[in-house]
Amino acid sequence: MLTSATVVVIGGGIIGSAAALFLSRAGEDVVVLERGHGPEQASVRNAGGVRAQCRNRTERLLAMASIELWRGFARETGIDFEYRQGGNLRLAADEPALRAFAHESIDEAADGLTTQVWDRADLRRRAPQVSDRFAGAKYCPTDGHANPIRATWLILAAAKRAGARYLTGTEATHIDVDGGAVRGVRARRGGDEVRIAAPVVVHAAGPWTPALATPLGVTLPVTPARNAMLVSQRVPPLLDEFVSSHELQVYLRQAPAGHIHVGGVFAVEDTFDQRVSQAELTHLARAVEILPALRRLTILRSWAGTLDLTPDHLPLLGFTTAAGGYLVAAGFSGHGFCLAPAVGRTISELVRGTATSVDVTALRPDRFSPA
Amino acid sequence: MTAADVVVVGAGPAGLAAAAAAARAGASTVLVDAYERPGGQYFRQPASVTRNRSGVQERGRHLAARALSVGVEFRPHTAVWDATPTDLHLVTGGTVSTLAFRAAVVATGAHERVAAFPGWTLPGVYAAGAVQALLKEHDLVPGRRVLVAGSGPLPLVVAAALVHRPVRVAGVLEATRLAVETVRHPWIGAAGLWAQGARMREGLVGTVRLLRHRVPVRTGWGIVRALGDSEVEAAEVARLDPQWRPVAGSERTVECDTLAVHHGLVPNTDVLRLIGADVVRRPDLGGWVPVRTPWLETSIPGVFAAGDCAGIGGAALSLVEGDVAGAAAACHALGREPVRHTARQRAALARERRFQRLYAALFAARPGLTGLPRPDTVVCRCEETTRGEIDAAIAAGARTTALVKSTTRCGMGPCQGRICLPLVEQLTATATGVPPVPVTARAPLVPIPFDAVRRC
Repeated sequence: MLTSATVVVIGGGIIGSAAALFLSRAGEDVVVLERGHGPEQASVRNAGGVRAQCRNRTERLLAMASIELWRGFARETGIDFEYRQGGNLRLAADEPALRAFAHESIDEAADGLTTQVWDRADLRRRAPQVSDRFAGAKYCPTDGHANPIRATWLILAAAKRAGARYLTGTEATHIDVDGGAVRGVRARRGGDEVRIAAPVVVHAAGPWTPALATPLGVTLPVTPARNAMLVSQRVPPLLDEFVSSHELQVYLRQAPAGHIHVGGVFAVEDTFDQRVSQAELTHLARAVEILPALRRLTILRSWAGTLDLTPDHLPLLGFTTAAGGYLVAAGFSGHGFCLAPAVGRTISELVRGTATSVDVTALRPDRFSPA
Repeated sequence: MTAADVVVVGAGPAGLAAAAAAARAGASTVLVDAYERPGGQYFRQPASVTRNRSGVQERGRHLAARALSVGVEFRPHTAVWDATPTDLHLVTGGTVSTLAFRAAVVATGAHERVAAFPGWTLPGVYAAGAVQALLKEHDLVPGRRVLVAGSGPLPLVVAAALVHRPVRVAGVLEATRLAVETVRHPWIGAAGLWAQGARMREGLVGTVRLLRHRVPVRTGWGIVRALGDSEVEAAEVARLDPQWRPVAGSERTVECDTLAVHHGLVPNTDVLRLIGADVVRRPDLGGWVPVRTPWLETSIPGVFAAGDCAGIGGAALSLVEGDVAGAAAACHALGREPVRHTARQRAALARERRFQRLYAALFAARPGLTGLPRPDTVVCRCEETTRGEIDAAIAAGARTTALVKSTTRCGMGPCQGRICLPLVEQLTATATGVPPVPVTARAPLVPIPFDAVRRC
């Protein structure tokens, strides 16, 4: 099979689909290559947190832009992807942690993000279901969470409606470069070879991205890592907020169906293995130290996804210098779901050569290469 | 943490035989089962010790006693909630423990296959196996007027057991037209049936008993839907074509307050898949089954599989497979070469596998079963996902069971999809033409308290 496009996107997860959506809306002819039958990896295996607080500045601006876009998707489509702005609550173990939150809150306010610092008494009053072991918390009322599976499929469907062509069960095998510029992508679909001629390639294959970048002379410092989650039985509403403790290294949220999802602020590095170990389950069960009501509940299921970690835990986003037309969007280090809408829009702006709504030069993919 | 040379999961026919064989070979052997008494579904023991046992129950008790007498340690009320190639993580009444092993025999049996016909979630609809369990364990009969429907020997066995109780059997419907199929497959004859398979023999004895009690037994008929507002009041039944599709215009209504339904069994491979054993899809054997060597070892060295969890074959095949796997597991654990099959084992395996092929040819689930649920019929009871929602997910691009599961939540409830996923897999494969891949098994296999896991 031979076809052509103006942009080929490798990876049909939430980043690839968000890019395809905004590129198609801007008038580009987009082909998305997805080796699975649909979004199956980190896009649909994360906790669905949508958070602007407690982030690096570039990510904060991307997250704030994404929250606007997420609100827009909910309004425009009328589809309930369980997006709720129930707030994000970051717990402080002690007074020094609380003071650091206060400093961060000032930086955030400068960017127009409103957050509140709660002391021990505030936390008891505002979130009585949370354990009294914490010294306080930082609360961002506009943050929240969504169902990552529904949200990913919503963006995928919107991209298709905008004209993007999805080739599922199609695994990219080579990125063709000639004369210093991208010429297209070769892929395998069953036993057949597929060739798509295109001047631009957007590479958004998560932890699998480096494998096809290396032959182009592009070294992407992306490490695969397992991130496990578990879910409780259904219970009546307990929690609007997305709550996390970096001291306990766990976070949790309650989905509208009533299940409480628990994830870890840690990952088992250097593995594509998605089997959840006993040690991880034991660790995640420490969520009872945040929410004592969990003690009486049972764990229903667990699962894991594969993160794409970079050395600074920030994404690799932008054109590379190795080949003209080769744009990398990977290494999201667990932040991809929340940031996807604004990242998709930024990719479209970069490809079209228009001014970017968020300055992402700090995320350029070759920032780790010796100058 | 405790340790054993050989651990056996499941105390049904295969597990009891395996544990006894392993212990006889000199291996320290632990047998775990989620229930209080050993026996599994086939040898299910009465709850009260004062009640008389049936012949089958007597044999089960004898087997269990023999296993204990050769040194098997039995742990009742103990379920596996997580497993690796070297350890089982167990839960006994809310308390967790870990058991390290050198070799394991997984003998987890099977689940009943559920046909999601309109009305199947009404009170009064039972799996025939559940009716049998109530009878065997508590001598209880649900309802007063029971229609038994489905396929295979079990519905006949259950109906035959019911005729001696204070209950009216409104009829027995067998989906396969046995008389026609017997002509089509010359090697299927009454004599062949009689010679093979304890359960089949039981079924035929049952048929004779049913006819004597003037219970109508129809073959080539099946359930189409259950009728009633808040509970079963009647059933709509229809003649079925050879693919088990209802023949339009043949529908009839049968009054009943209870439906006992059974459309065969699905191997329970949860523990095997969690450990990482390779499985292949064998619709003739009930679904996904582990790949095994002649010693019944799976793709994971030291992990063996015996009985219905490795392919539906009935109690007699389970007994001989357990015997083979238990001895082989002991050899693996003790560092010996595996012993050769005895002549008796070879003969029994050949005979019971002939029965297994016959059972598959007659009773393996056929496509018509997938056509029964209508758009508003609930397929996943735990999450209340309907056929319509599943079809919509497939139409929106979900082309695998895992994708349908993740987009509709079907199979994500407390039962972990044991009931609905075989049907979802069939619906998805039929609609998309994409060959199914097994859904990943995940801990915990049974719901487990946060507090228990935290203290692991």
